[in-house]
Amino acid sequence: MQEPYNYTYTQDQGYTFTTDYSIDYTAYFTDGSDYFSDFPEFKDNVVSFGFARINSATNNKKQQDDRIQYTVTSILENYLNSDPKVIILFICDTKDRQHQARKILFDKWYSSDNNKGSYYKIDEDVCTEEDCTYCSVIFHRDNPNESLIAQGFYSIAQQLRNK
Amino acid sequence: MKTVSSPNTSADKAKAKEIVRRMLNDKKILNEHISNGGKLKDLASKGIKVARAI
Repeated sequence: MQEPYNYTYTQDQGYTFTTDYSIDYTAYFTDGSDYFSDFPEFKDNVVSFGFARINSATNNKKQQDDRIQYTVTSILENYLNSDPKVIILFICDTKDRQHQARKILFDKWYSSDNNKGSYYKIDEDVCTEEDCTYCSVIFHRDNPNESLIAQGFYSIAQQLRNK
Repeated sequence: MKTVSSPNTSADKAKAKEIVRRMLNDKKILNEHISNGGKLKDLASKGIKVARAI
């Protein structure tokens, strides 16, 4: 397995790292408590994960770089392990219609992670009349609110399916 | 045959739609902010709070 890139945290840009191809990335977490306001037991432990390229490489050729995967999973695991009550929410961005590709990529990263047995991952396709968004939550197996988290997450998707 | 809906079903659905709408809108704001070189600490002015660091 390849090593993750070294990353640093700043208040300005979150967790940033630079790849061997001189591409800068940021990973960041934002407050997700508003999305689960009906669940005071755990809403304050919900964070939403984001990941973005900050700059482009000097050439435009897309490079296959598995170290990005290991770096992102390292950031996520460290965040999850910092507090067993943390719940990380993933919303596959729909802005460029690539949300399905992002879902496949994140699912692949999770399934190949050696430590995934320590966490629960729940996936839901959340569809309105206009669009579908692929959402997931990941939380530690020691999270004391395990069943309530699942209930809260499923309830959003279930309500949208109701006629 | 007349069907009876569960109490508050349409209200619950509307609430769920609003939650999803907010998720997507926050995502859009974040993407634009980051791609424009914006700093995370400036997100508060756009209604988004950065979570604690570890």
